[in-house]
Amino acid sequence: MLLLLAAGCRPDFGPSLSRVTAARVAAVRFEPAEAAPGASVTATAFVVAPGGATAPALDWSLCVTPKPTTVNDVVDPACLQPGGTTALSSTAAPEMLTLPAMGCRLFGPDTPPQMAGEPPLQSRAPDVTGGYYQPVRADLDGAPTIALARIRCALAGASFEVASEYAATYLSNRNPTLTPVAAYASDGTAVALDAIAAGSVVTLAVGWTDDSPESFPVLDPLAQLLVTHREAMTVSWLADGGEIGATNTGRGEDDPALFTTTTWTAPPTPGTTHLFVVLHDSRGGVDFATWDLIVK
Amino acid sequence: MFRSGAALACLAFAATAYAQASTGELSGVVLERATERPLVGVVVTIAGTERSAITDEDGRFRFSGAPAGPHALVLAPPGGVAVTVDEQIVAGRHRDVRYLVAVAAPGGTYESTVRAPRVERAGVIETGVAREEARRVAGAADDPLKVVEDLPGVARATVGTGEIIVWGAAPADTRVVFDGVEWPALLHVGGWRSTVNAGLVARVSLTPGGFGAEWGRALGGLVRIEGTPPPPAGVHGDIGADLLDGSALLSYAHGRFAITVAGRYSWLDQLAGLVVRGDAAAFIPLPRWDDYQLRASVALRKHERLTLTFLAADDELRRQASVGDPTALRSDRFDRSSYRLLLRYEAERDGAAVEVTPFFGYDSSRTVDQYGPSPAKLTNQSFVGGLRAAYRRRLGRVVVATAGIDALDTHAHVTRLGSLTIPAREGDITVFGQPPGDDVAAADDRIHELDLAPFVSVDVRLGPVTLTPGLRVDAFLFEGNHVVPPVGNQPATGWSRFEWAVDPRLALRWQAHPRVAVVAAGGLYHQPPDPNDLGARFGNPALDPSRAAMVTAGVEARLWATLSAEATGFYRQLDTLPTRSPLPSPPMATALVQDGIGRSYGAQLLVRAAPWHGLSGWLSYTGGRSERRDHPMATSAWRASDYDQTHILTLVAEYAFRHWSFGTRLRWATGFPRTPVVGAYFDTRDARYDPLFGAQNSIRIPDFVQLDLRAEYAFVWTARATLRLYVDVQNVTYQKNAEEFVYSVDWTQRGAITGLPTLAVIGARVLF
Repeated sequence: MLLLLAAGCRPDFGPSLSRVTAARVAAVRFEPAEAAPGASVTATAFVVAPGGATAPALDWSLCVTPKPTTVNDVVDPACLQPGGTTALSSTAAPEMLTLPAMGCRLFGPDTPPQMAGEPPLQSRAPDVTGGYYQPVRADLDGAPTIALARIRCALAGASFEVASEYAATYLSNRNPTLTPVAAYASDGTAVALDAIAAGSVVTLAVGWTDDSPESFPVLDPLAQLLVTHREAMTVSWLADGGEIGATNTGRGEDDPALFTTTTWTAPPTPGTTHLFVVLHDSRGGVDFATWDLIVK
Repeated sequence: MFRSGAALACLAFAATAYAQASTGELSGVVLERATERPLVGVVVTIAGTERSAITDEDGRFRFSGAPAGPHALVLAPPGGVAVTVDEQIVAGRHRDVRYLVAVAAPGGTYESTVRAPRVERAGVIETGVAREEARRVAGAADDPLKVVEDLPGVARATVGTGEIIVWGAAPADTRVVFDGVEWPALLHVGGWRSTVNAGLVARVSLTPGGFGAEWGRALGGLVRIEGTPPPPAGVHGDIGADLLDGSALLSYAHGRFAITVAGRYSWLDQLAGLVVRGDAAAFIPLPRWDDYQLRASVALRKHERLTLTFLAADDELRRQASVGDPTALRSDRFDRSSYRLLLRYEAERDGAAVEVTPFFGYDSSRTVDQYGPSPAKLTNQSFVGGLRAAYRRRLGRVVVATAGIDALDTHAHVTRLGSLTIPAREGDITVFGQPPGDDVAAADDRIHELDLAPFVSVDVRLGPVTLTPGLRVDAFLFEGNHVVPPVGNQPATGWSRFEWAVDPRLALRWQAHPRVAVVAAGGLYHQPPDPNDLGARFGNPALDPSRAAMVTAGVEARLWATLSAEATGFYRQLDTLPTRSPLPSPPMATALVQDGIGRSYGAQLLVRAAPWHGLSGWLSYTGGRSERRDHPMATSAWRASDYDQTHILTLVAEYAFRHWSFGTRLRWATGFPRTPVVGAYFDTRDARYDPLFGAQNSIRIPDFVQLDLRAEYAFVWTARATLRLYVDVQNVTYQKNAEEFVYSVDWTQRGAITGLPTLAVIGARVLF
């Protein structure tokens, strides 16, 4: 059999998302990580930029337009349009905001009371972790960023017994906690972060505390049972120099390891590269930190 | 003397003129049905006269000065069984006809009554291709059913999909039937190979629209696969292999009994997986398939036959994109199996023809996708059964009446898990690489659809005009186990309803000239909702059958004996199409609403050359538009449908010389519409950018152009065995056709994924 098969080609779009070339919002942490509608939360933005993390003024606003079922995005496109949100403030400091009291009706499973002669409305389905989110918009110099604050809503579509069990056992999400980054050479030996050889390839490892991946119940609507899941952990690696191997790495919910790794190719010349690490849990919890990588 | 001589000349002239006024000319060609090769030495006799002719080396015959009026022509192939056909010889005119004759083996008792080609058609606008011509089309890799993709009116599908898009209709709107029974798919997943072994296919034809009352449950086109007649006596076989797969067929016939078994198994995924790179492998699926068939027939009495057919096809597709983060893994798993058992009874007696085909089947499909943490599962297991029966009888000299019933019963078990937007449907605003919505809903539905459709049609021949009015009445029963999505432990409430659909149809054929015919057809068409759409959580149990009103008209001209041309215009109006509810919180059980309307319109030209000194082929061009409007009562405007392909040009040519045949195929097609990404925002929870879209379907993938070549040599080993060697090279000019748009991770840059630049398939086939 003679085979002349040239594989299909996909264009190369250049540097990956991991290279920080301009200031942008990389993450927003809400404290508490999950709250009931009407509660106050503190939103802290992690703005990365060449030269290190910064704290510029951001334009904060709340999205109050629920998205149609036809939209695959996390928010309705109207939230990205002028006038599509409820403005809060423009501040560089952590933003104290009050979650809309109607959050579970706008973005959760609650539906308006059934009107006479009208059919009841369908409850909105949660995400894979059983959660619902209030979109919060944080614009940096006009570039929009959407952060999702997890809101605590009632369990929809469950029997009374299951809903009662859920209310008794479900614990609101908490933000995870990063542990320090470490670097290793190709032979596995530890490399000090302030003594990385120029042009060398090192493995960067970052971990999280053992209480970071939390267990939580999720409703199986067909079986009418609560199934216990464990949070998956994802790390985003960003840097203003060198080249990151994999931008996002992590551990699935069935993987008990408490760390993840990526590779980093140091620049060919000595200097300082700022490494930005964002840790996500699968219920929207966030932690972030910056480390300096000094190349010699 | 002069005056008497002149009188004699005038008398002779008058006699000649009188003879001409009462005589006409009839010529034609007689071809073998399965291969369309000329039949030489066929004795053609005008029954009741002394007139006879014998077909020459091109299969042609001619009668000059034949008595005008209706006649029965008897066609007697050498060593075969004679067949009879009714013809009309028009005084003072020349008529050219074309016969396809199934030549029964000596000793066989089955006699085929060859009707006029029009009666064998599902509609007046139909293109049919015999198996041997179809399999030699360049780019088809020796698969005759793949020729459907090259017929006029069929869009060029995106690589790896195998979708049949006819006159802008959604693939699900076009029906495929085998010997009259619906068959779920013409092509295996990926579109590499058809689902029925070529050895069981006599002919494939496409009616893009305007089909008669015998057919329904479709808003688009109709693809008919005609199974082969009983094989010749003795043991015969067909064993082949190429880059894609291997197949085998074995037949045995003796006396009244004949049986054929066939099977195929693919290995493309194992071979190609060695060389296809990561990104391309994620976009261009490499499926695995197999199919197997059995066909047994027994001649009960003269003009009476029973045929049992079993069809089976399996598909499997695995695709996984590695992104380094196990929580962002993308994987697709698709499995599909289809089985049909048909028992067809055919009889001709006392001027009437009867066909009765009860059938049973099972279809299973399973899609399991993972988009990072979000699952998407859709399974459908359906038991189907039904009956097709038709009674056709000539009433007098000008009327042929047909009455029958077309019944289909489907019991489906549908389970779904994932976003409401999965799977994507026509009208969804999506882009390649975008994850689905993060909502996860679930459903477990049992749906029952029953359609009882009696039909009647009448062919009325009034001189050169044949009118075919018809009427089809579909009585639908829809049932389900959930009228609303179940909540908690509340007992499920089922639902049941009847719907009626009355579909008048009309076709006209006017033989305006011995070489020119004007054809037209139109009517109403209904299509029941897909069982997957009748669930309460993901669909709407109250969906009604969708509806289309269609009209087509055209001119057919036989330019020469072997060159014909057809020009056709079409217009199709659709309404009550299911679309997604635009509401953030739709009422219960209304994730789908029935607001959609659509329209398709255009024209096509087909110039076709029957074999002439070894040359044959066709040139087809289709130009048209397919548009949709999702919510006319709201603000939605007309837009191009996802299946709109404005221009489709196909040139197929073949030259056969002794044991060689060479073929070429040239295709040019407009790209499908796409919705542009005009902006983006960063989603911090998922650490990704999400797209913002512009006007729906306002840009297009670049045009597709491709040239394919084929060469075959048939080596005759013995009188019984032939070895065919072929090479089929697709895209010989290394055209880098764009198949899909792709964007950078921040959606600021757009490029295109190109398909497989060149593919050479070398194969061999042994026939004995």
